[in-house]
Amino acid sequence: MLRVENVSVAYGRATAVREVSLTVNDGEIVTLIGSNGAGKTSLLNAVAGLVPVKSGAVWLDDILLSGLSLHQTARLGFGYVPEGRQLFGDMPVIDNLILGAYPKSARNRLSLLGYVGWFTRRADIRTNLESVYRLFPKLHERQSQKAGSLSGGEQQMLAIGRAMMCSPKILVLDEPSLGLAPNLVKEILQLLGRLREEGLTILLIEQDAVAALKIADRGYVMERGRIVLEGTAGELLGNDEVKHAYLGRALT
Amino acid sequence: MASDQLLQYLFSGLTHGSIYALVGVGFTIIYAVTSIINFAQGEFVMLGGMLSFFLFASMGVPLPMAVILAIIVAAVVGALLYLLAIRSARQASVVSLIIITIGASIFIRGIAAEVWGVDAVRPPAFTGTTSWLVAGAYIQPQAVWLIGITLVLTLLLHLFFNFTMMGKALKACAINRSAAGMVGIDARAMALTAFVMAGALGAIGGTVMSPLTSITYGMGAMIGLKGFVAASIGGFKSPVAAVIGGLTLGIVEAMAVAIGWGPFSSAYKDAIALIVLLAILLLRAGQLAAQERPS
Repeated sequence: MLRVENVSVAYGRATAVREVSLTVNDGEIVTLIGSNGAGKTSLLNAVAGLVPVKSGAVWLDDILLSGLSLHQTARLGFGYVPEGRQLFGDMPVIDNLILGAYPKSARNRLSLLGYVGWFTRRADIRTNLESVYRLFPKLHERQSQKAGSLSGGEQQMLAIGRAMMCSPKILVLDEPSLGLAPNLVKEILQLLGRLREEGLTILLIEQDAVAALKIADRGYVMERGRIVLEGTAGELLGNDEVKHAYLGRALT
Repeated sequence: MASDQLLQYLFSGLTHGSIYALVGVGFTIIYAVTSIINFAQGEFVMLGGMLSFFLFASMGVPLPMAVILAIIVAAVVGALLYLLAIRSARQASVVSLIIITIGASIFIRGIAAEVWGVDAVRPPAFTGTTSWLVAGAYIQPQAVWLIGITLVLTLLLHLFFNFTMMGKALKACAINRSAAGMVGIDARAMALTAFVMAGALGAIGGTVMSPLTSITYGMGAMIGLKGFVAASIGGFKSPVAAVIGGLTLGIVEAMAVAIGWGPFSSAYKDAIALIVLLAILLLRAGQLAAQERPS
């Protein structure tokens, strides 16, 4: 599904990610863990097209993603739930969700310029909206509230729901647990597990390594811009080094 | 003052206000999507009026066709302004981009003076010039055209921004540009769209207004200023707010002339927009600073 091959990312002369390779197979949950500043978000931003890749390649199925910009990767089925959620705060919940379906309109190519989507009350958008509301009944209740007025947990649900609106090939989440109460984190991770059972492929970036590894199939550990360890979730949970470096605090 | 006289001034205010409204909508759309105040906005009005006149009078194009062509050409000028001047300078700060639009406005005005001369021209009215008597006040058919077209466009814009994907995408760019990218919206395509819409709206105003007021190559500057005030009254928030701002400014101007005392005689009519602008700047200084966004 997603293949990252020897990707490096640099900001000016500072290299944030050094020759990282990782794979996410169809239907898997893969987690990328590591401490703050390890380069996880930089890697993800480069994969999404938010910052340029310095070297290496990113493939989504047989499409070369590296070199494309953010809006193009989104249209190709890269469902990005960024750190900090990046919602349209002044818009109602329902409009945030409807805009999530924008890539579908863009793909329709109804105009010469390829970005005219016409009406937002189309049947396909309504169908997706209903399935997102089934996942998150809370969002249905608050559909006319402004996104900015939601609680942190609801905003995170909205960010995930928005990414689901265009039926992405892969859902990529950057620290969905950030700033959320533990029971909410649990709820969101359980939900990701359910989505995987429905066939969705997920790449999850987390600082909360235990929680992430509990729902993941495989994991990668990143440290100072490099992948230092990889394995199945069980292996990593049992690994002494991992326990020591990332799980220690959480286990005691 | 007699009520029929008052109505007469109200008609005049609505007529002028319609033009300010259409220009204000252009300002608002471009600002919302790109954070740029496009000071070439008034030139689209001038281009609309001048082009429709010269296509009709010098080239013999039938009037409806001349009007439509003028609008299309102005929309293309809007696109070119974005593609040649704004997009190619995308590393520049917003302030530099605003200065570029001032340069573009002077450039367009200069070309217009060269090509069409400096005399005022007046295209024929769409449907005659016999005024109608409404409740004791006279109104020209062309003024009805102008007010009517403005109201219809306002309704269409409202529907566009609230019920179409592209309208919502334009709004999304205004709220959070990087989030817009994440859902697949191409911010640069949206910026281009905004300039095209602003060009077309200004030119629509110009083609419908110039049979009433006549038009010269240099009129864009003052109309642009009034449109800017209209957009400011509306808070640069939504097209509908800009329309309300434009109509308000038009009516305030007309009523000030109606009262006719001291500085508010018709000779100083144009000063009213500036007074309103100063008042807004004083009242909204804090609010505007809060809205300041990183480019």
